[in-house]
Amino acid sequence: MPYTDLDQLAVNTIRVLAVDATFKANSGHPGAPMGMAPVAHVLFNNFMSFNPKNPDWANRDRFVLSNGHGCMLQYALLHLFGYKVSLDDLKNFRQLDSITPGHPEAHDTPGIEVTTGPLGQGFSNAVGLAIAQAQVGGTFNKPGFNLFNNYTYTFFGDGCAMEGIASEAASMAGHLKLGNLIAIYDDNHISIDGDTKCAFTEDVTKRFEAYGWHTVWVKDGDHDLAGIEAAIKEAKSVTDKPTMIRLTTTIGFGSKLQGTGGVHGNPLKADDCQHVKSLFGFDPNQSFVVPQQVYDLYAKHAAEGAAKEQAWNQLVQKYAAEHPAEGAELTRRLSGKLPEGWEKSLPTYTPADSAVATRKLSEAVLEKIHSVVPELLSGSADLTGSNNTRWKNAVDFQPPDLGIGNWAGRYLRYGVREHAMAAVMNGLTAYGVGLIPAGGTFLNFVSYAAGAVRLSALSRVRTIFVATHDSIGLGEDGPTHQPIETLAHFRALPNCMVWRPADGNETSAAYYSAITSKHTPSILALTRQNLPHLELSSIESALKGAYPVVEVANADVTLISTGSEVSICIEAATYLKEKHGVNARVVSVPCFEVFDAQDKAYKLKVLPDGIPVMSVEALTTMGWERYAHEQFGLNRFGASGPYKEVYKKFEITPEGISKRALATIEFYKGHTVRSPINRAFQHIL
Amino acid sequence: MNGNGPNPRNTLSNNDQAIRDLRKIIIDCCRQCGGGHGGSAIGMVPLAVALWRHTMKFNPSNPEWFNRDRFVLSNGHVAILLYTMLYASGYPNMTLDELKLYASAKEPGKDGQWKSTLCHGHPEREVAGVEVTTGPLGQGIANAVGLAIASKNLGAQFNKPGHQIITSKVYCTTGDGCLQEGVAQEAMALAGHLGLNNLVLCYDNNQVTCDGPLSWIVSEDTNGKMRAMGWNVVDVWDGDSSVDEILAALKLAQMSTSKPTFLNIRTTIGYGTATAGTAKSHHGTYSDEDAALYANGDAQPHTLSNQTREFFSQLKEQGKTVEAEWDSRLSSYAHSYPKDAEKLRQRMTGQLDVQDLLRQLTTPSEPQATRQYNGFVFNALMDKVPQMLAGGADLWNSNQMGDQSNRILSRDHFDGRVIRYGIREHAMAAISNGLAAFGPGTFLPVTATFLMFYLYAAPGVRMGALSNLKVIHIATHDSIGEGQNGPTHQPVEVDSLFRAMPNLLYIRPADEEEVIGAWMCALASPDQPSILSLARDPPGVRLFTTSRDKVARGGYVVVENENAPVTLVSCGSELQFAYDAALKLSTLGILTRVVSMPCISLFEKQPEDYQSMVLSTSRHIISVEAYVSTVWARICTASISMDSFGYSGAGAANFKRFGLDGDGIARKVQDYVRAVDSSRTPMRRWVRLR
Repeated sequence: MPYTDLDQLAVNTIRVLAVDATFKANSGHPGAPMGMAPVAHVLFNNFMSFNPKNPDWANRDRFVLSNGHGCMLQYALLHLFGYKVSLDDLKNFRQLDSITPGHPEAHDTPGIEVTTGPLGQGFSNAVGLAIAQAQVGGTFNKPGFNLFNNYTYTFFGDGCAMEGIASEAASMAGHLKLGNLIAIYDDNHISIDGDTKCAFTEDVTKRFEAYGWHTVWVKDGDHDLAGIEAAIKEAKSVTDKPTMIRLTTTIGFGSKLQGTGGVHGNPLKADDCQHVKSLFGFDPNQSFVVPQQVYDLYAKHAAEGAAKEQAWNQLVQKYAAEHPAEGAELTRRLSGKLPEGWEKSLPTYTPADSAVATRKLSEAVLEKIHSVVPELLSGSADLTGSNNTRWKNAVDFQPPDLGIGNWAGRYLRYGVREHAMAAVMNGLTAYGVGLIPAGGTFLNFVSYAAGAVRLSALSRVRTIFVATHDSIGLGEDGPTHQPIETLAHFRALPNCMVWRPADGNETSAAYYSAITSKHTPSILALTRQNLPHLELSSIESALKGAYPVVEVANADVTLISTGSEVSICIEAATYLKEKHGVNARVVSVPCFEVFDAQDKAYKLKVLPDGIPVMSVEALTTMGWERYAHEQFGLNRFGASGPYKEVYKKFEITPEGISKRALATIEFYKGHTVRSPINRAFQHIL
Repeated sequence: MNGNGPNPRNTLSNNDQAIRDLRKIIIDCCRQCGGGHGGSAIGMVPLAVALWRHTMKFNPSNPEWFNRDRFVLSNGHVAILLYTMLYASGYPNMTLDELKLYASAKEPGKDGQWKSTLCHGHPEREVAGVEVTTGPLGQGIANAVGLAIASKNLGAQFNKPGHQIITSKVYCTTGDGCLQEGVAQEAMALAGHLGLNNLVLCYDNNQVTCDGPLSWIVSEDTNGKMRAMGWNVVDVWDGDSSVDEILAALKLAQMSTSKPTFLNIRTTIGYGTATAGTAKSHHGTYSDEDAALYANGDAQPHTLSNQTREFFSQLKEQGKTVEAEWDSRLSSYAHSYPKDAEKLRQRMTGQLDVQDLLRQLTTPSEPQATRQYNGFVFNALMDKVPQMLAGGADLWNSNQMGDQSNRILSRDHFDGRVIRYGIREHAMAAISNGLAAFGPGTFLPVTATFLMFYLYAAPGVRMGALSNLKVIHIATHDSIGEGQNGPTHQPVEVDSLFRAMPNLLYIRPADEEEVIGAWMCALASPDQPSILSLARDPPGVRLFTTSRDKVARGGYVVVENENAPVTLVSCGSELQFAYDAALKLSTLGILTRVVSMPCISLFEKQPEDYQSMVLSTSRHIISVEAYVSTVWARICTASISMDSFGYSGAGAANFKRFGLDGDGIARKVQDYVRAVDSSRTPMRRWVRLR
């Protein structure tokens, strides 16, 4: 379609808003919004389907700004198209408690799909959103009912292109032939430190082609609106490959400093702001001005989006009439509700059951619940056999023409790409049709994914990390694979639950908690080695976060422990009784975060006054000081060897625990011992 | 004999016999321990013969010979291949008995001492002949890039016309796993950008990963990807049996003048064995039939034929000769360039003495942000410490590392000392490990980015800590004081990760004095990485009692107040607020002491009486830090801290919002002290104040 002055006015309005907002905040990144305003205008106004009045419409096109620092671009668009982002919000850019924070945050701002900023994450989230569309479409679409057919668009800059996580995700997207994914690369040759030729001389186009992407180059991204439109059209026509559009732009287009690092991360100077406004035909002395024609233009497109949603809703009604079972299922998924009674499928155990590794018990849970929780998508970063993440009759999520799976498949082969896996999982949850991704790797390699796990927690999404081989108990692979600091780290991460179950019932509880916590990611730390089922464990007890697994009268000491060390503590309690006539209680803490949320009376029952508490966990002791008077663990790197010998080497044995328990009892003898739970006063949040 | 198996001829060429024998030893070792990663090792044997027997320059009798070629096994799970090659090549430490201990039980002997082994499940660099510790996938490739940069950099600094002193090349092996990892892709992109023609990456292309066929997870054109990143690509089609074809490819690699080389070597995992070509071959033991496959009728396990023994025996002599030749080249170099030779000698021995320089540095009269003053110290050191090879992940100016534009390392200026790593944090840390591993103290790598993004780099930082490599990480914007970038850029839990990480110094200086002290500690520690955690903004007040020398003690008193019931323990940008609160509290009649605690792990190493003296007999010892308080319960009875993510907003407002400014702290302490004193509870435990 021919482009008019009105289009140009809209483009310039976006640019000037970005200039004004960053100037007013005296901070922010005007350069990318000024350079990418043309493509944003063409994409949003001519291609994307969305309804600003209902940002959650399930079949909307998704947009991810992977170069999140350029977020004034997105805030300006949201405002102009009529999302609940006002001109005042733009004036509050980057201020405390505004809905226009320094990087886009999904839970703060209507119309923001995912939280971005840390480079490379958004690109990978977009791959997740595209996978979600393919999976949900593969599951629900029927002939005549193409319910889910949206596209996912992402903008990324040189920074994202350099990050390893984006390389991982791009490789995955190419393999999966995600034709619904269109990534637009802002090729402006500038990063914060200056010209990208300082550190980045590769042929990005060729690299994407090697990953299996279709590529298009728009050489004049500053002016060529028709060229941009043609490129996006071409991208949409290629349905068996994701497309990367290389868009050569001038960063800070219109500024006196355009094309330099000076406009990347700093607001323009006052005179430059005036210069830009004059150049684009705006009054240099006024700020935050939006010509009414621009509002009108965008309102028209917004109205078209609303109409599309309405038509879609009617199609869904017709679908429900013709396919009642699928229709009901879709309605449930869209409502965010879990299937009624799904939790009844969780397996339970008694001590008579044979000892099993918690990674195998996790597999047993997946085996039992996968059919009753169809939104559960499992997967692994190339450790399926070790993580035990795949139920027996699982179908892989793969492009059907590869002959090894299909689009409705629920098992994702993430490859040896831990960081991208976690970010893709974030994208899957952000799609908004209730998908629950579970992804496996060794606990120690969740650290590779930490950047994305953090964003799960920050953006309040339900991802489940199946983190096996969770301690020195993994044995021969040695200290490079044995986590020490990892749990302390993730326990410190706000809004993240770390579960370390000790047996079958606790493993089921961990899954119950993870699946029902809609706004919190969970890390399930699971063993490689077999563990016995505990006498007093149950799903209900484990769901209190901590509970006694050995209770005795007149206890001299409480041993508090998690996972694989709980059963060793129970052996230690027997040993203490038999060899030393000492009474030891044992408490299992499968999840601190859940225990912290219990009432004080319960917590005091678990950790009563008068009995010194000693913690036992085969990882760093850091963090245990809050719950135990004395701590026993491993504040050094582990060692390579058969696991039982590694435990012996570090004395995490009934004898070694007993020795320290006796020392603890001796140390506190004659003192009034207060429970770590007992506080002078209660906290008020 | 099936068509896929080895050639059963009685008379084999030396290369073919060596391939047989080495495969036999690998199978025997896996059978001995009932597991291990034998499959890839079997497939890679021809490559190993080509490298160790025919190509690499090294001296088995002196594994530390400075100008040796470096070998990195990035697919570290294939450790048995490396151990076997060290054994066959005659490294004195790697005996047959050691080899038999590969991944096997090592119970205490009669003396009760635990038996140790050289043949760990993954290679560890404390073992002579192992250049870097590998295992976590992708790290080794980045280490190799670091080693290659190190060699190039030294060569550019010291080589003279007619005197090629530093010429070591780096040979790195990789499987399908490493190539998928982001850290490797970052490192390979940088290697291509820099044109490291002394680096050869040998890809064991067996098309199989842990889970199954590579085609389940990767469909990319790997050669195309490498070319796009600026690499020279050479194909090898018969990696299973042709040493000659591999040697021809290696020759092409050596001819590369401006690009690193990628050898794409087609192999079969577990070649010839029952599980050959499948994922099952990745890990596990072998049957009797498999064992017989390469035994040639020799029932004795773990043996090399005489032919292979002889074939490899010359490596020891050869090694001595190349080292002797190099020694004489070095002598003639020293004769012609005595000053340079002396400087090179200092680099080879890793001499470093800058404590005096740091003691003499002056601090400015107006308070500066710790990131800013750190830049001053860094620049002063750069002028005096030739070992320093620094770099940043595209935030050099925000990190305030100063103008080093005349020292940029590039393909045209390999003698530069500042690497532009690009936005590749993970590779930056892992490459720095490679630089540090080049020689003992030869390089002092320094990295820089925001503290938040050391999270991306954490596995690389961990490998530095695990393998005792001294690298200094400059981590700026270290709290909610970072301000308007918002919670995606504001660490609240990252300190927990690094403080819990063994063998890592996490130091959080409060002001200029302590920045100097932090460098003194980081440089004094011989084999430990450090993170210097630095603030974006300057403190509002100047404390005159901070001390560079006392940083080494981890914590010390900055405001004494005898018999004070309250001691505030703080660090970094929050020390100013603790100080302010202490003044306010003392005015209100609650006498308050203040302790600065820049490094908890150093404090915990102090004698107990020192620790008691610093913490005193105060009834309330309260930490003040804008992080989730994972660690402080070790030391304090209460904490003023974060328990949520931060928020986008200017620094000072953020501290106030979360009650971490002077007023907020004073209020919380006051409430707490009143409540506790009225309840008179004995033996208090730790509590978080709100």
